[in-house]
Amino acid sequence: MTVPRYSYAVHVLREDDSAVAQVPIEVDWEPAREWMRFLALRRGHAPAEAFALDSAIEPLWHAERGAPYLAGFRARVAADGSAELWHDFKTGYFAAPARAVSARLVAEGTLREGDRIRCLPVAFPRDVEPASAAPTVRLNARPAAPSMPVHAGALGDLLGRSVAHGRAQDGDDTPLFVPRTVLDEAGALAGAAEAKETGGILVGHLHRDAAVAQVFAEVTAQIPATHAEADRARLSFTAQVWTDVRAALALRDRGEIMLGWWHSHPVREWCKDCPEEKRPDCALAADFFSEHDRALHRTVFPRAYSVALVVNDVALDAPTFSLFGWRSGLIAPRGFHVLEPDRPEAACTGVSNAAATARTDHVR
Amino acid sequence: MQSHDSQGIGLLEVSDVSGQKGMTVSDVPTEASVGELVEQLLAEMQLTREDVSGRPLTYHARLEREGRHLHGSERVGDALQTGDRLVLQPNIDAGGGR
Repeated sequence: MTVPRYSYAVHVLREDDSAVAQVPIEVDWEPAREWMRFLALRRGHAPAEAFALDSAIEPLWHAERGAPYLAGFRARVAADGSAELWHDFKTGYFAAPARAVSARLVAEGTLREGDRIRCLPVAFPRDVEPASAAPTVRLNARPAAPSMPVHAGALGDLLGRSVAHGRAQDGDDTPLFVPRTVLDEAGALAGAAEAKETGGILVGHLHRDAAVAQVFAEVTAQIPATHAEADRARLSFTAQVWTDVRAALALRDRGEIMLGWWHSHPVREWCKDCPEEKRPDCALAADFFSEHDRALHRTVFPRAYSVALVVNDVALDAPTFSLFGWRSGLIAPRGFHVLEPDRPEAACTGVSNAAATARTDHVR
Repeated sequence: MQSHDSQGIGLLEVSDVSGQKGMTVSDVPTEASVGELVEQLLAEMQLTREDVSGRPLTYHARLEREGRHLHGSERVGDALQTGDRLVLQPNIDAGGGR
């Protein structure tokens, strides 16, 4: 597949459309590629094949402004003998580098704090690949298929034994099922940590329901990060944490994989000096995911099915739970399903079919 | 840049900490340091190399055969054998920004 390569930049404009600067950006394409791999997995590709796929990325030009202004970009994958699969990503994908550019312009004095600006992503064809630094060590390296079993499963069965929690799920989200016991354990650990953050790793299984072309994740347990270093606003996952978790997975010997992670926000500590009436509406009390949280998720859990659960240890009430996950290459707050131990099973096939039809991937 | 001999470790299996990404590596120069090897593996596996402040993330290479974290200054030829499995484990922070 021959696709022209592009250089990307952010065009910064003031409110009156006067130009401030055009600043080159390095775009992290890996989350978009991971999203495409997951779409391929969802469409029935074997895990070893899906997770090895690369994507061709091409700009989508803005309908009114035209090139070089972007309306987004399209990523395409084509596995041997399969239909081409593509997905259109919106300009929100460039929000993080655009924020970095505006912060830099403020730091340089080109902009002042509080200036109202617009950041428009742009792309320009380039003929020559930028030179990269020569490697210190030359490696003959090949991607290896991860050990990522995907079990056959019926989405309707789990939907029938669970209740929806939090935000309505987007059609593109990977359905996620979390046992009530896991939430209870995480909530108890968060409470026991008192003023400090705490956390752990969510382990479980991936399933594919071929009838609705959907892959879904089932958490089976949480493994506490007992060697994490914590204070009231920081939780360090040290190398020893990962060693412990891998050892626990080996001991459990249930074929579980790391589906994501959880950590607590000791909101009662953060908000202890706030007026009581303001606490329920505090932005820190729900669906708060910091830049450090995002960086950890991008670094350790880049696969599109990976999730991050936040336990909000709020004052005056039981802990609340927020979930974050990948959606079209971006980390977004989302909903999930709580598996209740005593919930009678009910038929929910219609729900799963509706979720499948709400997705935004395409094949031809 | 240092130069390394062409005779290397035959084959290594490398994975990220979650087991979500893996790589097989052959002909690793024996004279390279573990730190140099890890640096190049991070690039090959497209793993994040900086924290949100732009500071380099610290990764440890855990050698499964010996159940220990290798030191960056160790020589590949001394520490590794063909068939070894390495896990790249970051020290990384959640939270902050409040």
